[in-house]
Amino acid sequence: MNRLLAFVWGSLFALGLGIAGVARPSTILGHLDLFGAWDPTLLTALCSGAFVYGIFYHAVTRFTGSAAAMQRTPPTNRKIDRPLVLGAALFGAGWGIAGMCPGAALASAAHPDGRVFVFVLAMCAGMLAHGPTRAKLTRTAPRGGLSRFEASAR
Amino acid sequence: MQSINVIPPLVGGALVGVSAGGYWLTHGRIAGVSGLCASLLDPTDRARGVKAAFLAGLVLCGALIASMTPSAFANTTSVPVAAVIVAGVVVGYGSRLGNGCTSGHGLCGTGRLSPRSLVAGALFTLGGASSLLLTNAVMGGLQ
Repeated sequence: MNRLLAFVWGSLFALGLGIAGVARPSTILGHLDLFGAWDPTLLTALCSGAFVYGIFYHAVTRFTGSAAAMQRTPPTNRKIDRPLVLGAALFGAGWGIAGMCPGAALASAAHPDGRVFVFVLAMCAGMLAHGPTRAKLTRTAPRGGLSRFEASAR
Repeated sequence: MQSINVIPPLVGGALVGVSAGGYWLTHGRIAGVSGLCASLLDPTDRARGVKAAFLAGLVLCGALIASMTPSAFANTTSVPVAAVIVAGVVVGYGSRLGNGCTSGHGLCGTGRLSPRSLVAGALFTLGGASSLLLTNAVMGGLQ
């Protein structure tokens, strides 16, 4: 039941992306073309989605008891630190090359042009490379604490 | 600035908001696609089944819609494969380092008015605008 519901939410996510047109790389690159013919589609969709999500988030948190009681896991980190700034800038740089982000790429992964699938594979490789290299780049412990290797090295 | 029909992005965006809001309601989790994806790659994650189900819905429903209206999804045709690979690796790495992507920070974080996510969203666009300018200048545009 839990999984079926998650499947439904995932399907709705893809439907929304498709209707909004924000899974098209051309829409993304239009959004990033700040100094040219800027395309307001993505910002419009994001504002609409964030507004609806915000209502859900606060209503759910207010009316169904405390987050902990419902076993919810709200993000609590509010610090703007180096990993966030560096990671977000890197993400943006990659976003601007192909006009694809993780959600849109997964929703389009079955596209007959295999390039979207290649993007998804490369993205997974990038995610896997992050674990072992994060500490070097940021000099901070990865989420979930130090690995055994790092703990023994200190 | 281009003039657009705002109805599709308003409606589509709201549906994505309902999806992420529903996931928060029933599962108490943030619908961040990069985070979900990274969890699948992490054998120690205990909620992989639910996360896999969400991603399966995303991929399968996306494929279904694309089979009916191909123009709804990726219409990239001229970006060289090498550039796609670089983009994918950088996006994957950056999303983990910054703890989120367009869905986790851009949609959910912005909806919660999280200061981290608002900063991340601005940096996504600034970083993307910079790399777009650069690729346009160096290669005359990849698209």
